[in-house]
Amino acid sequence: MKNLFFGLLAVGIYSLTSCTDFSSGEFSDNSSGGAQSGSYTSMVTIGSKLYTVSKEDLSTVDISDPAKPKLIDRQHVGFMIENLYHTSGILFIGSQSAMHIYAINSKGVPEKKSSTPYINFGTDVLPCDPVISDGSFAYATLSSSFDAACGRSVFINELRTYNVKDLSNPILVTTNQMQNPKGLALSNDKLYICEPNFGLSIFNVNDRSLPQPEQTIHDCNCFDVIVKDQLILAVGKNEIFQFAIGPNHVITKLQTIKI
Amino acid sequence: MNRKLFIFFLMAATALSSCTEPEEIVDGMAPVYGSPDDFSMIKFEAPRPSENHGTIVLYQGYVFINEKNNGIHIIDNRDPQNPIRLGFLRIPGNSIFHIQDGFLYADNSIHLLIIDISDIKAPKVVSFLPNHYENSLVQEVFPLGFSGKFECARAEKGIVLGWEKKKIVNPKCFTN
Repeated sequence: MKNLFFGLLAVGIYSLTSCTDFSSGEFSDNSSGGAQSGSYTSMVTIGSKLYTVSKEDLSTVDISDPAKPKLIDRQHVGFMIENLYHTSGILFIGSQSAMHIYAINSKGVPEKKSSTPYINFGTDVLPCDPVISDGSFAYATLSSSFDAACGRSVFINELRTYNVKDLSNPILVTTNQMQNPKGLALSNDKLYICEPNFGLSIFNVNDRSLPQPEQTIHDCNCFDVIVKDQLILAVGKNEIFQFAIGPNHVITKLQTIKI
Repeated sequence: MNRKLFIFFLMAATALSSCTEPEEIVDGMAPVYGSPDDFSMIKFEAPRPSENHGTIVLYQGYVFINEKNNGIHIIDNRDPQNPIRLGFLRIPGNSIFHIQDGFLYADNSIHLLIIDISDIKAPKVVSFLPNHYENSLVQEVFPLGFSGKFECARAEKGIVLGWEKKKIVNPKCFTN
């Protein structure tokens, strides 16, 4: 009798983390309850509702009384969910294979609008990075560098821009080639994208459908980023880099937080 | 973030393999398990170095950043030119969290916990939703700073509190 045996070889820790349990990450309008999350978040609050994603499910919890949380909805989304992002009553869920969009109904329960597969690669090739949005356009990073790979063997490092004005029918409008895009944030017509081992890349999205590369802050090896007001927090391996956004978008380095 | 290569050997049929392969006993690491229902270890502790961090949340000028499977580092960043490491909120099994209005919503691999952090140095678990995170990620937990074979963590045994040196039989997992 043959031994059944299979191994997942040389899977970078990134794949186990960024592909599965990183969470949070939103635009500056994605703050809730005074909290702002990075793009790998998998929990958001909207009013008295808490939304959580696990590997496959999206749940709605009524937290109007934190001492008595009530699960009011749970639905299957897909597989290998990466992140949950909220803007304007719309939930965007990034997974390894697709972008899922849900609209929250009057009862606070998400209703599925669409699932957009990223690629038609073989099943062994899966992108694994988050999606964020302003409600009209959604930005998804797909990366396949080895240390960030989800067991992928095909080289793909892209920023995808989707027109999501029709939530039921997202349309891919722009693809930007990148080095190694991971966590991202949107604030005031700028899109900030962490590219580990490369830097923090900043795009002008004055035209939301057409991100234009503007500058890269090198010496900022980060995998997720928060932008709040005039402060940038970029999470690196051993530190959190901080920058201030000044007039004319001049970026000044602040004290680095060692962690 | 630790980027050690991490290799799993998953035996789909352990029984079959042990019939056909000699038993291997090696010095390795084994998980120390705790009950997901025991919240007594959730407490505010002194700052500790990050070994494997994850999700970040900015809340009222404070930076909260997850230490995977362990809890949350807290930094007072109200003055970004003078960040102060306040401490570590230990939550065994935690990788996912959010904060709203003085309450921390956090997993412990199994349950969804609601923790009053209005006094961050005295966190209080006020409620929890049982088994909200069934089929959690515990199998992806591994001993940091260790190279070699280890006993794979198993979700049904509880949440992993730490690791101990142990003679282990036919290990299926290793890091290098």
